[in-house]
Amino acid sequence: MTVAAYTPPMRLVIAGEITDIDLSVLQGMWSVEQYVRLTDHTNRLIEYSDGWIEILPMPTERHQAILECLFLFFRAYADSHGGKVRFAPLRLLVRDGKFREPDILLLRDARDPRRQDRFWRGADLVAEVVSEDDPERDTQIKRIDYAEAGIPEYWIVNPLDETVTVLTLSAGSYAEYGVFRRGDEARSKLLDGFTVRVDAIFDAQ
Amino acid sequence: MTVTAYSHPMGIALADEITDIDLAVLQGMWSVEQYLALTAQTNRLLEYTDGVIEVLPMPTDKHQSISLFLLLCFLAFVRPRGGVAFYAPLRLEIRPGKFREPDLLILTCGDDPRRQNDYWRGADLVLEIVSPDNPARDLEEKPRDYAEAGIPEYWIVNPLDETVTVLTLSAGSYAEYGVFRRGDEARSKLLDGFTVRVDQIFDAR
Repeated sequence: MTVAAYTPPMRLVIAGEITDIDLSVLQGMWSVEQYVRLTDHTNRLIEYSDGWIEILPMPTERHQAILECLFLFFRAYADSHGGKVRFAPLRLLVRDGKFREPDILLLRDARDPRRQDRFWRGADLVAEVVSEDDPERDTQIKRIDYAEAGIPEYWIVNPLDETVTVLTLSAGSYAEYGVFRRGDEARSKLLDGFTVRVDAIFDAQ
Repeated sequence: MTVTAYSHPMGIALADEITDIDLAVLQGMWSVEQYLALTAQTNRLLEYTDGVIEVLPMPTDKHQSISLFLLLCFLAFVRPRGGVAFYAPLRLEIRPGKFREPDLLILTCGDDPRRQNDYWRGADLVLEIVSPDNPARDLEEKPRDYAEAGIPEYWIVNPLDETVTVLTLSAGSYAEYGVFRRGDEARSKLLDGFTVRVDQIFDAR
């Protein structure tokens, strides 16, 4: 199954000029080196699959408030239990020729060899805060991507319906470990004892 | 010695968004396939050297008047003799990894195997009309490029000082065959008997 993400048209622009050079003809031809170089030099989130690049929309304030709150919960856990947690933008190699930039990435061991400086080569847990422009990117496409990367746990934090879905990997695909709503405490299967009040997430200011 | 052409800053624009993704960081990394794909779908002149793409400025009305006039002169001469003359944009491979788009390209034999549909692998005569934005491009860089391509004759038509310089290849570099001014008849060494009145070139409307 594939889900086609909406890709905004890309154009090559030249300072001070109106041009009509359509970069979408290059889709499928971008090299990994070009992707890495581009993302080295921008704060925009860009993802890469087999020669295709997708430029993700700028996050909203609400997205960032939720992300910050969530990050601090994971950070507190990592500080007391060990491990390393990072927030976007940080490139994650899903497999050769495929990169994503999850909102949160976590490794349980800070010395895990997959933790590389230019991009991580894997993670134990990732989280995405769903974007309004294209909720399916996080709820469906990423679900396939992170399973492909073999990431044991994937949190989908959805401000649109105020749910937190925790997925755990089983035989190569994700199964729902729990769908948590206001009043619940979302919990991890992987991180023993880690819980977050759903209200705290969606009330983040 | 190298002369660096002024390269306009290039960026990626997304429909309806302001972005700051700077494509200049990819200079040196563009592939020939990407160059060909880009030039296949734009009327902008793009040139390519070892991974670097340069977007040339849009020609002016004056430039195009001169180009059309000269095209008609060359066509009238070479067609009855079995040759072909074309005008930009048509890609010319200087050597593997280097492409230019001369204003006029001529092959004295229409069946020349260097005449290929996607791009020409060489030419017998090329002509450039100097652009005011960067005269050194046509006056200094292009002679080296076209000499590298082994093109026997290169015409430089300069509206800035109203001269026509005809260069002919000798031992790998160009020598002046003649510099022609108003009142003169510019003539070709390669195309025996071909002349154009310089007044007509610069008075073209």
